Amino acid sequence: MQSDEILTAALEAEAADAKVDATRLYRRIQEARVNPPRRRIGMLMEVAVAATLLVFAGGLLLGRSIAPRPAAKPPLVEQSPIPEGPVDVQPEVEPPIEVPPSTGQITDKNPPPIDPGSSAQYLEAPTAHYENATLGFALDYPTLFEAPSESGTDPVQVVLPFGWGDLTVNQEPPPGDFSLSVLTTKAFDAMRQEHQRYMPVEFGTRELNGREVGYFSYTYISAAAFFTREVYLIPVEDRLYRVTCGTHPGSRVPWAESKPICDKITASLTFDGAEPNAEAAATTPGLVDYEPWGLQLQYPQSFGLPEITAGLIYLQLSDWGELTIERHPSTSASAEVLVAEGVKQIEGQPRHVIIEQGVRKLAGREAGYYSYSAVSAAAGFSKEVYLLPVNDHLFRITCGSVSGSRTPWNEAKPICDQILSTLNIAE
Amino acid sequence: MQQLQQGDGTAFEPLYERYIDQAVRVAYLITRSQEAAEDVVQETFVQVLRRITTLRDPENFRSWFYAILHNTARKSLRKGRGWLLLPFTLNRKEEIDHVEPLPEEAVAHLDEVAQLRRVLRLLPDSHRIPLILRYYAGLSEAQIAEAIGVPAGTVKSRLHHARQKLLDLLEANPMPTGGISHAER
Repeated sequence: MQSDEILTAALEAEAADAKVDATRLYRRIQEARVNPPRRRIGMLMEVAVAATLLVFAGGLLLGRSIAPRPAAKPPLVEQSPIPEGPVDVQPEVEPPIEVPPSTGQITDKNPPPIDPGSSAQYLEAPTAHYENATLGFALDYPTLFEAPSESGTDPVQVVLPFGWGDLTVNQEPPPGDFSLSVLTTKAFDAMRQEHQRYMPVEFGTRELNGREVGYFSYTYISAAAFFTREVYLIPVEDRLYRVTCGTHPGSRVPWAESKPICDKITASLTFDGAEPNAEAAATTPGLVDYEPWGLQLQYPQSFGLPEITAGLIYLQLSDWGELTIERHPSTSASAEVLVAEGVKQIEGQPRHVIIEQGVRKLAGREAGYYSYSAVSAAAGFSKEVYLLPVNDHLFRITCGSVSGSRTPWNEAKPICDQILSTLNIAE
Repeated sequence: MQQLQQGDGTAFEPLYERYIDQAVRVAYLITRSQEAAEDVVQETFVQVLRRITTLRDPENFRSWFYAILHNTARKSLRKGRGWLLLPFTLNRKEEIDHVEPLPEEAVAHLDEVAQLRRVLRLLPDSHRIPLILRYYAGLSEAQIAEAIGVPAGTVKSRLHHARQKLLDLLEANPMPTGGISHAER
């Protein structure tokens, strides 16, 4: 039994039970990476709305025959940041129209389906306040709509019917430690597995009322019906809310009309508990106290737990940035020389631009300093590097945004400054 | 690696292909859940892509990769995700009856493997994970130290104690009578 071979064989036998679907995982990873900035989301939404309108207009011209037009579909898919995946449309099989995840009932009290261009009346209508103690949230809704109602017991969901669509709020299982992008990917995956004709429009994370939330929207187009829905995944403390808003199958209300109404209501959403975790303005700071290096650092707890391995302290700054601290043996080179070397290395890389360089104070000592940006059409980031000599060691501290986040340096820099102002390294 | 660090996304695919199979299996061994293992591996590769520019020495990629995977898997375990201690049934007589008897030596080997599988699950994470990284992922003690963030001496001692603990567990939890099902392989 003591032999390594048998130990390895036992682990191999156990590991053989795992299934490896490399293609599916690859797609999940690519989707989770995608984190389009809000500006890009806006642009994509415009494209998607335009495409939906095009289909809708075509449908009006052709009566009830709104066939999925090859010309209308590609913009939705091609402009989406989601890579090609198994969201295959199979026109040979007409699946039944899905009942949306809500009541979906049109009652007499509800307004009639709106005509294109008529959403203004709902946007301008007086609003009523609705609070739900069971789920712990509140929202304002146009009084032209029937009041929201609870349905189900476990889980409870609240539905605000529009007549042609609805907004639904329910609570998901606790998010655990997984990042918002993973949670969003899982929800998005589940939606795509639900129906092959659901076509993704947008996917990523965005800000909603000061909170970072997961977001995706999807559309369904067939000869019989089409609809568009958007889903927000909203983490609040240890809870995760799912807010779905959009049109019903068969309502034929264009997304361009329904979306502003969804936006108005979702903008009014508030939740019991903590205030929005406005990034660095976060609550009680966490503390890194790494005795082997004599290092202490405070960080906003909303950024998650730092990871400490033998040679590196790593702190992820939400989804947009990171801070790393490495300790190396000291060199005889002066701070100026070290900075010059670092700058030279950066300048040697394509599309990298130095922003600043010089000597700065950090943790009460003089440190070499430079900051730089990497600029490209696909991804960009900015970072600053401190080279801090302490006794026999040189600490290399890097803080800034990560590739693809597109967070402007003037937004990232104050957060790096705030965290690094708490750095203390013992003599 | 350098290409990936300079933002060349096409360099990711070969790296992914090289690591995905073992990553899923190691994550599965740690979390004991297919779903949790997939979540862990997804998060690990996303983090790899995000942080690749922080990797100073590409030679250390392997231990750096497993450091991320280990941290992610530990988070998953802390939340109780995928912590399924399924009963390990060894006595499926009806299946034994339908297979050709193996040579005595091979049966003895299978017997040992099956017993080890059973008691491996009883080890605490602090001992089980170094064993997985050493004897399944094939990491050196130094690489494991990097991956789990403890000194190399601690890894050596944990491996030693893990093996000792396995022996103790085998003695305390003898194999149920009736032999082993060949189907367990």
